[in-house]
Amino acid sequence: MPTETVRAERLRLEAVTKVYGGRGAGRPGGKTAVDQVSFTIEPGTSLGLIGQSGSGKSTLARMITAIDKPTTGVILHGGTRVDQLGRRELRRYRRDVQFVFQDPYAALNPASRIGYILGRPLANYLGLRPDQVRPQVLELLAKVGLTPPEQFEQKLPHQLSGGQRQRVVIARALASRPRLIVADEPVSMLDVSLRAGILTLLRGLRETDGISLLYITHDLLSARAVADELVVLQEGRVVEQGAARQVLQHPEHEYTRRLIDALPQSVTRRN
Amino acid sequence: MSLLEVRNLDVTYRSRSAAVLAARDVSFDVAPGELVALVGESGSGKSTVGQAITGTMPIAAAATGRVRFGGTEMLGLDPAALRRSRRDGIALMPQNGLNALNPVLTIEGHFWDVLRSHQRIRRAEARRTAAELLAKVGLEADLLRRYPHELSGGMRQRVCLAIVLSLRPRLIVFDEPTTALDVLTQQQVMETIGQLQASEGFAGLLISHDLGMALERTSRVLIMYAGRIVEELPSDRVFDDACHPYTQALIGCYGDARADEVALAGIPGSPPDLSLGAESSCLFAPRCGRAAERCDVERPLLRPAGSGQAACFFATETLTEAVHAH
Repeated sequence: MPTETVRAERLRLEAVTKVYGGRGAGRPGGKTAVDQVSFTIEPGTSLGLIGQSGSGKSTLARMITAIDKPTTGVILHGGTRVDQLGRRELRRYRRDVQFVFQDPYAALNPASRIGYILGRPLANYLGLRPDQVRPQVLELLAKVGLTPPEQFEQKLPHQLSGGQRQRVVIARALASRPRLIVADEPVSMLDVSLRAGILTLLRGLRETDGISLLYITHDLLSARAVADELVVLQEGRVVEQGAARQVLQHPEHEYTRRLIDALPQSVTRRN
Repeated sequence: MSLLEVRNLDVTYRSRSAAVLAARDVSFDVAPGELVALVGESGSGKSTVGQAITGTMPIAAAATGRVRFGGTEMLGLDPAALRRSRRDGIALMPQNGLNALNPVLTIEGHFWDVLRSHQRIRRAEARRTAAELLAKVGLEADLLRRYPHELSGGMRQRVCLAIVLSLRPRLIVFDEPTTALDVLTQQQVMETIGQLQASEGFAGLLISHDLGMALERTSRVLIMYAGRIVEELPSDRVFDDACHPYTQALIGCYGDARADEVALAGIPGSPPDLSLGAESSCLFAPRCGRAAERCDVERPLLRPAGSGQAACFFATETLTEAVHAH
């Protein structure tokens, strides 16, 4: 299927601010969840957005996926203003930007078979006829490592393990041939022995399909394994950003240092 | 003498179509005041063991073997005796504070429920006790008027910890106490648990899927795979002395985020089907790089290896040796 490589676009956030509640200009009395955040994801690269609960990382994900609009600031995907999308453009944008959810147990309809779950976006976004859908479903399953695909097509979500389900969620995100995947804590609910497989799959999509990745997490280790660049958020503000290795080896902000110090030491005394 | 003595514990879940042997011949001890980690992945049986100890097994589960707590046999206790065991014995700290707390009850209401159901106590005294308990976990007394949804995840776990402490347990089973929390909050909650364990003197069994976190404040770790304890060793020796291939593979799933190159490994394959009854082979063999013919026809028993015990015929190489040899 996606043998033709999708050309990713640059995603750019300029001084994005989100205030919940409050009224009027500047929204006095509101709660500022995201405060003047700017960063860029270059086409085909991956960016790790790091922060604790309440740091604003999921709010940013909602704005980048056009579920929510910024109070002020600009989000650009290529030449498109994401914060000002009309209904038709929104549909097009949702095809280009797909979401991978945290909880693979909640993200799949328990009553639908995997073949149907993957077939819907193929029909909806790519306009495929019913007879064209099945080969593409099988190709998607193979792509995310669920082989032989014929064995998975007829299964229900509860018949799969957590790691397999997350692969289905990723396959569904790939169905519309997106340019950017936003993954919000995609491995935090999975066993540690399964995480590497999912992270390798996500990372590999950049090389095979040229898809950009926004990887949202509080886990520095997985972020380092997946992301080229890191953006560290604290209470809605960017406190540090840079190349992943640089940020972890030479953190400049005290908050980043605290996050690094919180990593368990006893299983990583390799050096 | 041990405070908790688990011997040959088997737990079976029965449904109309299948019987799953979820815990298999599990034996271990916890000494008074000791914090022991029980680590395993989904389906390894770690929570099943926790439930068998605390008498919170689902109706479909049946346990055989022995669970002796302070000299009393816990398996098969009648409800009244089980209730008494909770008064000054075993407490369970649940995984998810939001699910464990009643959404329509204030925090004070939770303390009131627990305190008055095990002793005669006046409301004002209960409130005072609750405030003291909250102080112990680092929370303010004005939290008593709040509802669970008004608190952060870390605060909810602290509240659960304070409630658990209210009956002065001698053993606390912590079931994934920090799983839903971010790293900094995780670290704070574990610090609080460690401090309280030192000051209050309770023993603890820390159930976790996260080996890295589990090693931080425990003295010993038990590694479970497919219903069995496959390795036991001191927590601070895991990295150097682990000699079961599964423990070694788990260690390989972690890495140093600050290293020049970070390549995370996984464990290929998937855990076995536990509905097939007791096995006469090593259940990890299909996923094991060191498996030989013997592993398919004989079940390895726990025997001294490294700085603890391991259930593997080839549990002679530590990770460092294995890396150098291959």
